[in-house]
Amino acid sequence: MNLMVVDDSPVMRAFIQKVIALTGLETGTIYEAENGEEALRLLRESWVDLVLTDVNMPRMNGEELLRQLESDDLLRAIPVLVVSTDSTDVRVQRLLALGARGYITKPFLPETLRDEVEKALGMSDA
Amino acid sequence: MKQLVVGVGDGGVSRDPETVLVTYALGSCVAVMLHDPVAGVAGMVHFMLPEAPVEGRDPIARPWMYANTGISCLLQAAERQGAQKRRLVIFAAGGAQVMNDNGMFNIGKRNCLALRKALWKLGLVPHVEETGGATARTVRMEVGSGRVWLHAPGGEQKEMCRNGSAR
Amino acid sequence: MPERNMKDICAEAVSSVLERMFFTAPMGMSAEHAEGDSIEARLVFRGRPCGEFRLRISDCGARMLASGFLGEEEESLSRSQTEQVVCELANMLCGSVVSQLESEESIDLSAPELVAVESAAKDGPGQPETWQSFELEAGLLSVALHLEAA
Repeated sequence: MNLMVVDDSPVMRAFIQKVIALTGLETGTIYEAENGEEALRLLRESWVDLVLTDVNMPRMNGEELLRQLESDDLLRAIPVLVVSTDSTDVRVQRLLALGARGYITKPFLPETLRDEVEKALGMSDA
Repeated sequence: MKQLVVGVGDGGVSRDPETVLVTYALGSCVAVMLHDPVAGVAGMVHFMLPEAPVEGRDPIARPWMYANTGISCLLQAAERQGAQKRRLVIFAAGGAQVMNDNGMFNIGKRNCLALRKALWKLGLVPHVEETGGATARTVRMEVGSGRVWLHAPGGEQKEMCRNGSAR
Repeated sequence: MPERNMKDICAEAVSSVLERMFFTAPMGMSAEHAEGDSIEARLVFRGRPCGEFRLRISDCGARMLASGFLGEEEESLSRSQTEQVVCELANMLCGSVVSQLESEESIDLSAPELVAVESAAKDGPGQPETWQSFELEAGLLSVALHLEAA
Protein backbone atom coordinates (compact mmCIF):
# COMPACT_ATOMS: atom_id res chain seq x y z
CA MET A 1 0.00 0.00 0.00
CA ASN A 2 1.14 3.51 -0.77
CA LEU A 3 0.47 6.39 1.58
CA MET A 4 1.05 10.13 1.46
CA VAL A 5 1.88 12.49 4.33
CA VAL A 6 1.22 16.18 3.66
CA ASP A 7 2.60 18.68 6.20
CA ASP A 8 4.91 21.67 5.93
CA SER A 9 6.85 20.47 9.00
CA PRO A 10 9.52 17.85 8.19
CA VAL A 11 9.61 16.64 11.79
CA MET A 12 5.83 16.23 11.88
CA ARG A 13 6.07 14.16 8.70
CA ALA A 14 8.72 12.03 10.43
CA PHE A 15 6.47 11.58 13.48
CA ILE A 16 3.56 10.46 11.31
CA GLN A 17 5.82 8.03 9.46
CA LYS A 18 6.73 6.44 12.83
CA VAL A 19 3.02 6.12 13.60
CA ILE A 20 2.40 4.45 10.24
CA ALA A 21 5.12 1.94 11.13
CA LEU A 22 3.14 1.06 14.28
CA THR A 23 0.35 -0.33 12.13
CA GLY A 24 2.53 -3.16 10.84
CA LEU A 25 1.22 -2.30 7.40
CA GLU A 26 3.18 -3.66 4.45
CA THR A 27 3.88 -0.26 2.96
CA GLY A 28 5.10 0.30 -0.55
CA THR A 29 5.99 3.96 -0.86
CA ILE A 30 5.21 6.66 1.66
CA TYR A 31 5.17 9.90 -0.28
CA GLU A 32 5.77 13.21 1.43
CA ALA A 33 4.58 16.65 0.37
CA GLU A 34 5.09 20.07 1.98
CA ASN A 35 1.78 21.52 0.86
CA GLY A 36 -1.43 20.77 -0.98
CA GLU A 37 -0.10 21.86 -4.35
CA GLU A 38 2.82 19.42 -4.21
CA ALA A 39 0.50 16.69 -2.92
CA LEU A 40 -1.91 17.18 -5.81
CA ARG A 41 0.89 16.98 -8.35
CA LEU A 42 2.20 13.73 -6.84
CA LEU A 43 -1.30 12.24 -6.60
CA ARG A 44 -1.85 12.81 -10.31
CA GLU A 45 1.32 10.82 -11.00
CA SER A 46 1.13 7.92 -8.55
CA TRP A 47 -1.69 5.95 -6.94
CA VAL A 48 -1.97 6.32 -3.18
CA ASP A 49 -4.24 4.35 -0.84
CA LEU A 50 -4.47 6.95 1.93
CA VAL A 51 -3.57 10.62 2.37
CA LEU A 52 -2.84 12.18 5.76
CA THR A 53 -2.86 15.94 5.56
CA ASP A 54 -2.35 18.96 7.76
CA VAL A 55 -4.61 21.99 7.26
CA ASN A 56 -2.48 25.11 7.76
CA MET A 57 0.14 24.99 5.00
CA PRO A 58 1.51 27.58 2.57
CA ARG A 59 0.64 27.63 -1.15
CA MET A 60 -2.35 25.27 -0.86
CA ASN A 61 -3.83 24.36 2.51
CA GLY A 62 -5.43 21.05 3.45
CA GLU A 63 -8.96 22.32 2.98
CA GLU A 64 -8.30 23.38 -0.61
CA LEU A 65 -6.51 20.07 -1.24
CA LEU A 66 -9.62 18.21 -0.13
CA ARG A 67 -11.77 20.38 -2.38
CA GLN A 68 -9.51 19.63 -5.35
CA LEU A 69 -9.55 15.88 -4.66
CA GLU A 70 -13.34 15.83 -4.33
CA SER A 71 -13.74 17.57 -7.68
CA ASP A 72 -11.57 14.98 -9.46
CA ASP A 73 -13.39 11.85 -10.68
CA LEU A 74 -10.41 9.60 -10.03
CA LEU A 75 -8.82 11.17 -6.98
CA ARG A 76 -12.02 11.52 -4.94
CA ALA A 77 -11.84 7.77 -4.18
CA ILE A 78 -8.68 8.21 -2.13
CA PRO A 79 -9.48 8.35 1.60
CA VAL A 80 -8.11 11.40 3.41
CA LEU A 81 -7.37 11.78 7.11
CA VAL A 82 -6.93 15.32 8.38
CA VAL A 83 -4.32 15.83 11.12
CA SER A 84 -4.49 19.39 12.42
CA THR A 85 -4.11 21.67 15.42
CA ASP A 86 -7.46 23.27 14.61
CA SER A 87 -10.17 21.58 16.64
CA THR A 88 -12.84 24.25 16.14
CA ASP A 89 -16.23 22.75 15.26
CA VAL A 90 -16.62 24.94 12.20
CA ARG A 91 -13.40 23.64 10.63
CA VAL A 92 -13.93 20.00 11.56
CA GLN A 93 -17.49 19.94 10.17
CA ARG A 94 -16.43 21.71 7.00
CA LEU A 95 -13.63 19.19 6.30
CA LEU A 96 -15.79 16.19 7.07
CA ALA A 97 -18.43 17.62 4.73
CA LEU A 98 -15.72 17.92 2.06
CA GLY A 99 -15.15 14.19 2.34
CA ALA A 100 -12.43 13.73 4.95
CA ARG A 101 -12.59 10.16 6.28
CA GLY A 102 -11.42 11.22 9.72
CA TYR A 103 -10.13 14.22 11.66
CA ILE A 104 -7.37 13.88 14.25
CA THR A 105 -6.49 16.89 16.38
CA LYS A 106 -2.89 17.63 17.37
CA PRO A 107 -1.68 16.83 19.93
CA PHE A 108 -2.60 13.17 19.66
CA LEU A 109 -1.42 9.92 21.19
CA PRO A 110 0.45 7.88 18.54
CA GLU A 111 -1.95 4.97 18.98
CA THR A 112 -4.92 7.26 18.25
CA LEU A 113 -3.56 8.08 14.81
CA ARG A 114 -2.48 4.46 14.33
CA ASP A 115 -6.05 3.30 14.98
CA GLU A 116 -7.48 5.89 12.57
CA VAL A 117 -5.04 4.83 9.84
CA GLU A 118 -5.98 1.17 10.32
CA LYS A 119 -9.67 2.04 10.27
CA ALA A 120 -9.33 4.14 7.11
CA LEU A 121 -7.54 1.27 5.38
CA GLY A 122 -10.07 -1.31 6.58
CA MET A 123 -7.48 -3.07 8.75
CA SER A 124 -9.38 -2.94 12.03
CA ASP A 125 -12.69 -4.19 13.36
CA ALA A 126 -13.64 -0.70 14.54
CA MET B 1 1.69 -23.46 36.62
CA LYS B 2 5.10 -22.27 37.70
CA GLN B 3 5.44 -18.76 39.01
CA LEU B 4 8.41 -16.54 38.11
CA VAL B 5 8.44 -13.51 40.38
CA VAL B 6 9.88 -10.33 38.95
CA GLY B 7 11.09 -8.16 41.78
CA VAL B 8 11.26 -4.40 42.08
CA GLY B 9 13.92 -3.05 39.74
CA ASP B 10 14.20 -6.38 37.97
CA GLY B 11 13.06 -8.11 34.79
CA GLY B 12 12.93 -11.44 33.02
CA VAL B 13 11.74 -13.40 30.00
CA SER B 14 10.50 -16.94 29.49
CA ARG B 15 9.47 -19.34 26.75
CA ASP B 16 8.01 -21.93 29.12
CA PRO B 17 4.25 -22.12 28.46
CA GLU B 18 3.71 -23.42 32.02
CA THR B 19 5.18 -20.30 33.58
CA VAL B 20 3.37 -17.24 34.89
CA LEU B 21 5.36 -14.03 35.30
CA VAL B 22 4.21 -12.00 38.28
CA THR B 23 5.20 -8.79 39.95
CA TYR B 24 3.75 -7.30 43.10
CA ALA B 25 3.03 -3.94 44.68
CA LEU B 26 3.22 -1.65 41.66
CA GLY B 27 2.81 1.71 43.33
CA SER B 28 4.55 4.49 41.47
CA CYS B 29 6.61 1.80 39.70
CA VAL B 30 5.57 0.57 36.27
CA ALA B 31 5.54 -2.96 34.89
CA VAL B 32 5.93 -3.44 31.15
CA MET B 33 5.01 -6.80 29.72
CA LEU B 34 5.44 -8.07 26.22
CA HIS B 35 4.39 -11.20 24.39
CA ASP B 36 5.22 -12.63 20.99
CA PRO B 37 2.36 -15.04 20.22
CA VAL B 38 4.27 -16.74 17.40
CA ALA B 39 7.57 -17.36 19.20
CA GLY B 40 5.78 -17.96 22.51
CA VAL B 41 8.09 -15.56 24.34
CA ALA B 42 6.94 -13.37 27.22
CA GLY B 43 8.81 -10.84 29.30
CA MET B 44 8.29 -8.43 32.14
CA VAL B 45 10.19 -5.54 33.71
CA HIS B 46 9.31 -3.74 36.95
CA PHE B 47 11.06 -0.37 36.84
CA MET B 48 11.16 2.29 39.54
CA LEU B 49 12.59 5.40 37.95
CA PRO B 50 12.33 7.18 34.60
CA GLU B 51 15.93 7.48 33.43
CA ALA B 52 19.23 5.90 34.30
CA PRO B 53 21.91 8.34 35.44
CA VAL B 54 24.58 9.06 32.86
CA GLU B 55 27.72 7.50 34.27
CA GLY B 56 30.26 8.12 31.57
CA ARG B 57 31.42 4.96 29.86
CA ASP B 58 30.57 2.62 32.74
CA PRO B 59 27.59 0.32 32.12
CA ILE B 60 24.53 1.03 34.26
CA ALA B 61 24.71 -1.04 37.45
CA ARG B 62 21.00 -1.91 37.60
CA PRO B 63 19.54 -1.41 34.12
CA TRP B 64 16.15 -2.97 34.96
CA MET B 65 15.55 -0.24 37.52
CA TYR B 66 14.97 2.48 34.94
CA ALA B 67 12.40 2.89 32.18
CA ASN B 68 14.84 3.70 29.40
CA THR B 69 17.41 0.97 30.11
CA GLY B 70 14.94 -1.57 31.52
CA ILE B 71 12.60 -1.56 28.53
CA SER B 72 15.54 -1.75 26.15
CA CYS B 73 16.93 -4.72 28.14
CA LEU B 74 13.54 -6.40 28.08
CA LEU B 75 13.25 -6.11 24.31
CA GLN B 76 16.79 -7.39 23.78
CA ALA B 77 16.22 -10.35 26.11
CA ALA B 78 12.98 -11.23 24.34
CA GLU B 79 14.61 -10.97 20.92
CA ARG B 80 17.40 -13.29 22.08
CA GLN B 81 14.67 -15.85 22.85
CA GLY B 82 13.25 -15.51 19.34
CA ALA B 83 10.70 -12.71 19.74
CA GLN B 84 10.24 -10.26 16.87
CA LYS B 85 9.51 -6.63 17.62
CA ARG B 86 6.80 -6.27 14.97
CA ARG B 87 4.80 -9.15 16.52
CA LEU B 88 4.92 -7.94 20.11
CA VAL B 89 1.82 -7.20 22.14
CA ILE B 90 2.74 -4.73 24.87
CA PHE B 91 1.06 -4.13 28.22
CA ALA B 92 1.84 -1.54 30.86
CA ALA B 93 0.54 -1.20 34.42
CA GLY B 94 1.33 0.88 37.48
CA GLY B 95 2.50 4.47 37.80
CA ALA B 96 0.09 5.35 40.62
CA GLN B 97 0.18 8.98 41.70
CA VAL B 98 1.27 9.50 45.29
CA MET B 99 -1.51 11.26 47.18
CA ASN B 100 0.64 13.63 49.27
CA ASP B 101 2.73 14.89 46.39
CA ASN B 102 2.46 18.67 46.06
CA GLY B 103 4.23 19.16 42.76
CA MET B 104 2.70 19.14 39.30
CA PHE B 105 4.92 16.29 38.33
CA ASN B 106 5.39 13.23 40.57
CA ILE B 107 7.29 10.01 40.15
CA GLY B 108 4.29 7.86 39.16
CA LYS B 109 3.39 10.20 36.35
CA ARG B 110 7.04 10.61 35.36
CA ASN B 111 7.34 6.85 35.13
CA CYS B 112 4.23 6.65 32.91
CA LEU B 113 5.67 9.25 30.56
CA ALA B 114 9.11 7.63 30.62
CA LEU B 115 7.50 4.32 29.67
CA ARG B 116 5.93 5.86 26.57
CA LYS B 117 9.12 7.75 25.70
CA ALA B 118 11.23 4.59 25.93
CA LEU B 119 8.77 2.58 23.85
CA TRP B 120 8.49 5.36 21.25
CA LYS B 121 12.26 5.38 20.88
CA LEU B 122 11.96 1.70 19.97
CA GLY B 123 9.12 2.43 17.56
CA LEU B 124 6.52 0.95 19.88
CA VAL B 125 3.50 2.02 21.92
CA PRO B 126 1.60 0.09 24.61
CA HIS B 127 -1.37 -1.87 23.30
CA VAL B 128 -3.04 -2.06 26.71
CA GLU B 129 -2.37 0.34 29.55
CA GLU B 130 -3.64 0.45 33.12
CA THR B 131 -1.66 3.29 34.65
CA GLY B 132 -2.14 6.24 36.95
CA GLY B 133 -4.77 6.23 39.64
CA ALA B 134 -3.92 6.02 43.31
CA THR B 135 -3.72 2.32 44.13
CA ALA B 136 -0.97 -0.28 44.00
CA ARG B 137 -1.40 -3.16 41.57
CA THR B 138 -0.15 -6.71 41.06
CA VAL B 139 0.09 -8.14 37.56
CA ARG B 140 0.44 -11.67 36.23
CA MET B 141 1.23 -12.72 32.69
CA GLU B 142 0.79 -16.26 31.34
CA VAL B 143 3.74 -17.04 29.10
CA GLY B 144 1.80 -19.61 27.12
CA SER B 145 -1.27 -17.53 26.28
CA GLY B 146 0.07 -13.98 26.68
CA ARG B 147 -2.93 -13.13 28.86
CA VAL B 148 -2.41 -10.57 31.60
CA TRP B 149 -4.39 -10.15 34.82
CA LEU B 150 -4.40 -7.16 37.07
CA HIS B 151 -5.12 -7.35 40.79
CA ALA B 152 -6.30 -4.30 42.65
CA PRO B 153 -6.49 -4.03 46.45
CA GLY B 154 -9.56 -5.85 47.78
CA GLY B 155 -8.97 -8.92 45.61
CA GLU B 156 -10.77 -7.77 42.48
CA GLN B 157 -9.10 -9.25 39.40
CA LYS B 158 -9.55 -8.18 35.82
CA GLU B 159 -7.92 -9.19 32.57
CA MET B 160 -6.13 -6.54 30.56
CA CYS B 161 -7.59 -6.80 27.07
CA ARG B 162 -6.68 -5.06 23.84
CA ASN B 163 -10.19 -3.83 23.15
CA GLY B 164 -10.36 -2.20 26.59
CA SER B 165 -12.94 -4.49 28.10
CA ALA B 166 -12.32 -6.29 31.36
CA ARG B 167 -13.22 -9.95 31.76
CA MET C 1 -11.08 36.99 27.86
CA PRO C 2 -9.97 37.35 31.50
CA GLU C 3 -6.22 36.99 31.89
CA ARG C 4 -6.53 34.19 34.43
CA ASN C 5 -8.53 32.05 32.02
CA MET C 6 -5.94 32.61 29.34
CA LYS C 7 -3.15 31.54 31.70
CA ASP C 8 -5.07 28.40 32.61
CA ILE C 9 -5.70 27.63 28.94
CA CYS C 10 -2.00 28.06 28.14
CA ALA C 11 -0.98 25.85 31.07
CA GLU C 12 -3.42 23.13 30.02
CA ALA C 13 -2.18 23.32 26.42
CA VAL C 14 1.44 22.99 27.54
CA SER C 15 0.66 19.92 29.64
CA SER C 16 -1.46 18.28 26.97
CA VAL C 17 0.98 18.86 24.10
CA LEU C 18 4.08 17.86 26.07
CA GLU C 19 2.53 14.70 27.50
CA ARG C 20 0.98 13.35 24.31
CA MET C 21 3.69 13.94 21.76
CA PHE C 22 6.87 14.73 23.68
CA PHE C 23 6.41 12.22 26.55
CA THR C 24 7.24 14.69 29.28
CA ALA C 25 5.38 17.18 31.44
CA PRO C 26 6.04 20.57 33.00
CA MET C 27 7.47 20.25 36.51
CA GLY C 28 5.92 23.48 37.72
CA MET C 29 5.53 27.16 36.98
CA SER C 30 8.63 29.32 36.96
CA ALA C 31 9.06 32.94 37.92
CA GLU C 32 12.06 33.09 35.62
CA HIS C 33 11.75 33.16 31.85
CA ALA C 34 13.82 31.30 29.30
CA GLU C 35 16.79 33.49 28.37
CA GLY C 36 20.34 33.20 27.13
CA ASP C 37 21.01 30.04 25.13
CA SER C 38 17.51 29.44 23.89
CA ILE C 39 15.38 29.10 20.78
CA GLU C 40 12.42 31.37 20.08
CA ALA C 41 9.60 30.86 17.58
CA ARG C 42 6.63 33.01 16.71
CA LEU C 43 3.53 32.68 14.62
CA VAL C 44 0.51 34.83 13.92
CA PHE C 45 -3.08 33.75 13.72
CA ARG C 46 -5.74 35.38 11.59
CA GLY C 47 -9.48 35.35 11.97
CA ARG C 48 -11.55 36.49 14.87
CA PRO C 49 -9.68 36.83 17.17
CA CYS C 50 -6.25 37.43 15.67
CA GLY C 51 -2.89 37.93 17.28
CA GLU C 52 0.53 36.51 17.86
CA PHE C 53 1.97 33.58 19.77
CA ARG C 54 5.57 33.32 20.95
CA LEU C 55 7.53 30.53 22.52
CA ARG C 56 11.01 30.58 23.95
CA ILE C 57 12.76 27.46 25.21
CA SER C 58 16.19 26.78 26.71
CA ASP C 59 18.54 24.97 24.34
CA CYS C 60 18.77 21.98 26.70
CA GLY C 61 14.98 21.82 26.95
CA ALA C 62 14.65 22.01 23.17
CA ARG C 63 17.07 19.10 22.71
CA MET C 64 15.23 17.04 25.32
CA LEU C 65 11.87 17.67 23.65
CA ALA C 66 13.26 16.97 20.19
CA SER C 67 14.70 13.68 21.45
CA GLY C 68 11.33 12.64 22.86
CA PHE C 69 9.34 13.73 19.81
CA LEU C 70 11.58 12.07 17.25
CA GLY C 71 12.46 9.06 19.39
CA GLU C 72 16.17 9.63 18.86
CA GLU C 73 19.13 10.20 21.18
CA GLU C 74 19.84 13.87 21.83
CA GLU C 75 23.41 13.50 20.61
CA SER C 76 22.25 12.31 17.20
CA LEU C 77 20.02 15.32 16.51
CA SER C 78 21.11 18.28 14.39
CA ARG C 79 20.45 21.88 15.39
CA SER C 80 18.11 22.12 12.42
CA GLN C 81 16.02 19.17 13.60
CA THR C 82 15.79 20.66 17.09
CA GLU C 83 14.68 24.01 15.67
CA GLN C 84 12.06 22.31 13.49
CA VAL C 85 10.69 20.52 16.54
CA VAL C 86 10.49 23.83 18.42
CA CYS C 87 8.54 25.30 15.49
CA GLU C 88 6.14 22.36 15.54
CA LEU C 89 5.77 22.74 19.32
CA ALA C 90 4.86 26.41 18.80
CA ASN C 91 2.36 25.39 16.11
CA MET C 92 0.65 22.85 18.36
CA LEU C 93 0.61 25.08 21.44
CA CYS C 94 -0.79 28.04 19.51
CA GLY C 95 -3.36 25.84 17.81
CA SER C 96 -4.44 24.30 21.11
CA VAL C 97 -4.83 27.67 22.80
CA VAL C 98 -6.52 29.43 19.90
CA SER C 99 -9.00 26.57 19.43
CA GLN C 100 -10.21 27.22 22.97
CA LEU C 101 -11.05 30.85 22.20
CA GLU C 102 -14.67 31.52 21.43
CA SER C 103 -15.00 31.89 17.70
CA GLU C 104 -17.60 31.19 15.06
CA GLU C 105 -14.91 31.17 12.39
CA SER C 106 -11.95 28.94 11.86
CA ILE C 107 -8.65 30.63 12.63
CA ASP C 108 -5.69 30.35 10.29
CA LEU C 109 -2.18 29.97 11.69
CA SER C 110 0.91 31.21 9.87
CA ALA C 111 3.90 28.93 9.50
CA PRO C 112 6.03 29.25 12.65
CA GLU C 113 9.25 31.20 12.18
CA LEU C 114 12.36 31.31 14.30
CA VAL C 115 13.22 34.62 15.92
CA ALA C 116 16.72 35.71 16.87
CA VAL C 117 16.58 35.82 20.65
CA GLU C 118 18.49 39.13 20.81
CA SER C 119 15.88 40.90 18.67
CA ALA C 120 12.99 39.24 20.47
CA ALA C 121 13.49 41.30 23.59
CA LYS C 122 12.90 44.46 21.53
CA ASP C 123 9.82 43.45 19.59
CA GLY C 124 8.18 40.77 21.69
CA PRO C 125 4.47 41.02 22.45
CA GLY C 126 3.87 43.55 25.19
CA GLN C 127 5.78 43.61 28.42
CA PRO C 128 7.99 40.74 29.72
CA GLU C 129 5.32 39.91 32.28
CA THR C 130 3.10 38.53 29.50
CA TRP C 131 5.43 35.55 29.34
CA GLN C 132 4.24 32.48 31.21
CA SER C 133 7.05 30.10 32.08
CA PHE C 134 7.25 26.44 32.92
CA GLU C 135 10.04 24.42 34.41
CA LEU C 136 10.89 21.37 32.28
CA GLU C 137 12.99 18.31 33.13
CA ALA C 138 15.73 20.32 31.43
CA GLY C 139 15.57 24.11 31.18
CA LEU C 140 12.59 26.41 30.84
CA LEU C 141 9.74 26.91 28.40
CA SER C 142 8.14 30.35 28.13
CA VAL C 143 5.03 31.18 26.12
CA ALA C 144 3.22 34.43 25.39
CA LEU C 145 -0.05 35.06 23.59
CA HIS C 146 -1.02 38.52 22.34
CA LEU C 147 -4.56 39.12 21.14
CA GLU C 148 -5.19 42.14 18.98
CA ALA C 149 -8.01 44.39 20.08
CA ALA C 150 -11.26 43.56 18.25
